Amino acid sequence: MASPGLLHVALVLLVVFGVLAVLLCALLVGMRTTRLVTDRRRDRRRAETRALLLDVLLGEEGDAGTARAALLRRHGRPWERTEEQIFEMVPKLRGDARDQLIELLTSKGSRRRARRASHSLSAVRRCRGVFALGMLGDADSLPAMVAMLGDRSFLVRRTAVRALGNLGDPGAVHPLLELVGREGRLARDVVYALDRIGPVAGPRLREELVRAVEDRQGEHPEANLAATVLGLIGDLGATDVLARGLRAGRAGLDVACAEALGQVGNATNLPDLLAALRDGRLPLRVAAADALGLLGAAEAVGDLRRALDEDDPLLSRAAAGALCRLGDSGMAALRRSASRYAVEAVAIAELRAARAGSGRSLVS
Amino acid sequence: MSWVETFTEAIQWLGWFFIGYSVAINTSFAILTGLAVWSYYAYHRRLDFAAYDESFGEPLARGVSVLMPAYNEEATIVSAVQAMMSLRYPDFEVIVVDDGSRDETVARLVAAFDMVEVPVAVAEVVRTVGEVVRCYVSPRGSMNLTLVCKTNGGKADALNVGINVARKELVCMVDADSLLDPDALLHVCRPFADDPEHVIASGGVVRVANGSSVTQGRVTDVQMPRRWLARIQVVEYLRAFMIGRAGWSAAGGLLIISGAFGVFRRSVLHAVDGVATDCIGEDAELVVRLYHWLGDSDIEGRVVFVAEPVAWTEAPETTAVLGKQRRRWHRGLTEVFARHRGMILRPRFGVIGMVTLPWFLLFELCAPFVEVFGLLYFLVVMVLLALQHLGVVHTDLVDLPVVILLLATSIVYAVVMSLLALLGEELSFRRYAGIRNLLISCWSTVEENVGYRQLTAWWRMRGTLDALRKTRHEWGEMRRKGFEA
Repeated sequence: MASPGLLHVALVLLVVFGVLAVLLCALLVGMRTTRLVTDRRRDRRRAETRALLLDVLLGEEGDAGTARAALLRRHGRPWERTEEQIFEMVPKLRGDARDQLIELLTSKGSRRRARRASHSLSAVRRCRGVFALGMLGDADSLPAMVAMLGDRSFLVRRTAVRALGNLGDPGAVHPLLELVGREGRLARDVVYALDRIGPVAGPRLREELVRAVEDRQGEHPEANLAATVLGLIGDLGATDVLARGLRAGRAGLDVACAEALGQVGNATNLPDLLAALRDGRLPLRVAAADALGLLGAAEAVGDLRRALDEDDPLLSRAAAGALCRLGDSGMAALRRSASRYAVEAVAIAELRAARAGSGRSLVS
Repeated sequence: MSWVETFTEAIQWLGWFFIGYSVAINTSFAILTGLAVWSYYAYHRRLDFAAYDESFGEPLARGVSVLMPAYNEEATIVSAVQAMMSLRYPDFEVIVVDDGSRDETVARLVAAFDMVEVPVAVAEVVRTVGEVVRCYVSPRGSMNLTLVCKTNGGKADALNVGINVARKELVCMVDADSLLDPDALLHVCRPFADDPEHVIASGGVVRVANGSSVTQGRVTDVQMPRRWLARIQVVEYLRAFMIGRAGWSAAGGLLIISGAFGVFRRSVLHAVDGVATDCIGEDAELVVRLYHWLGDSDIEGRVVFVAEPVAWTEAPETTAVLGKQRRRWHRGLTEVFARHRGMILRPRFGVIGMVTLPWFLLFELCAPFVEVFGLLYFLVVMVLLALQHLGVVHTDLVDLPVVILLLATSIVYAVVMSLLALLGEELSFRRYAGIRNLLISCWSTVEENVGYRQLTAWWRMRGTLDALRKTRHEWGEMRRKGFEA
């Protein structure tokens, strides 16, 4: 170990690492100091912009006009920051307030910039662009946004899905469901988007579900999602097609249709749900039990009682929960049952009743 | 060859071994740092349009059962449960499982939340050791707080009882002394919605709350701790979580989710029969067993780390308690390797088997032995130097400047790695705000190498020896000061 070469190497390494350590410390302190200064400046700017925006939305006519003029005078980087802040506010607003902000944005060319950004080479810019188009509610942008569902970047595709939900155009329903067929990872985002589009999506969702149910040969993963969303939006017109999906005998689709029927709440589907409760597959039986509880039909008490007594953790608890919702006949069935899930459900129901009777919610 | 020459050669080879080991461990950590920093950079670029705050209104948000095993936690249990109950998440329940506490843990909870005894049905899906004695439900709000009192059986058994009581699709395991940030569940559960077919477990960050202000179960003013032991642990946790776990998660090889904050699919927990009750490191063992099950069953599954959600914990402030903790952790790691050694270098277990487990074996499990023997080696070399100087031996064996320089280089390299962890923190969440906290953190990266690392190496080595000798484990008690300001 007495080599001069080794000594030299050790010395060089020590100096290099030592200098690196000092530089890292200096970098950290520099970054932190800069961040403190820029954060303070940013907070001041944001407070000023927020005050102007609130004047535009809530101020008296004169103040609103002055504030609007002040915002419109901004250009370049100051306007970009203002635009970012407005885009943060828009999702939280509804009605006139939202329309006012969108009008402010479009008068400053935000729509044009968003369209340009959606063609950028940078995936992050394309995300910002499609996000902005969705927020601006520009129906003319629908084809371009639908095209971005095929973008090469997963992040852009996801942002495009959510943006189409914010856009609210039912023309996006079919492309969104097609996307789920290709890319299951976007299911959550597609459901979010379809739910945002809302009741206007109902007819097209029904069409998709009918097509899937009638095609006995093909795989239709999007059908499950269509059923789920029909339940979320409470589409009464979908009860027939949901009942057909429930009877189609396809795993997954039947569960989604059972859940949706419970949410839609049409008691004419009671026989189908009772048949599903008696079916051998556990997930379907659990979904049917939940749905029967939501429907509140006393005719289901007998079947739910039988499911309760099977003592399966998932099924029995779902049946107990459903019976709790069926009024006096449901509670009577629970009290007669020796199932531990029934005993638990009765105890909790009585606790709830005692709380309601005492007039306190005991909210902490 | 004379014995002196043999001895000389052995000393030289050992020296090269220690140098090579130090370079390897720190360089591999530098690679992990690069992966972690890249993932944070990508995360921050996405923030503007990722709509994470819309997760609360997600129609497909999975329900979560938060399990809190508790044993003699009277000082902190009420504030910890208050924090859990005010988490921002659309559908969750909190299940506190009292493992036969001998203090006022149960009484304080019952009083604080007006709890009423209720015959809760406990499914028998996962095997348990202890018996459930009684259950309570709080009538407040949405009645989503349950207290299960059982006979003493250990933390793992308490978690298994909680799994049997849980009603939701996902199960979140936390420590009773953990405080979660309000949005922690929203963030840590996101991967399950993002990739429902594959994600089976997700873990968040654990940070040290010592020195910070806590008001009604929320960490409100984050400060570096005053005491040296706690502030070094801040840096250590940053290195382990912000860099280590983020880096491994980015590489697809995350091995461990902290027992203080991890979320699992309940169905998967049922499939593997819950948490092992005969293993000290039950949290690490569970995740490794999940991978083992995935590989054996040929199922594609992922375990991910999410850096944003935080669980705050009280770190030990005395060497006695810290020593017991580190000894326990390393004993747990040894037991995990003993159980699952068949996974090492087996392609069917993917990155975990081929990369992560070998890395942990070499650079986590064996590291304390290398460090302790490295220290002994250094002492032997110093003795030889002294003898050489006194003319007792004539080997020209060691060159003092080289030895000192190499030792110093190794220490400075380790400091650089810790500073890179601080850089990762600076580029991401910066929870310890202000220049003062930053300077204290930087100083702690130096302090760590003078005494602390050597102590923890010694404790960790003893933990492995405990596991090999199968000595009886004494949990001891960590006296908690509590969180309230």
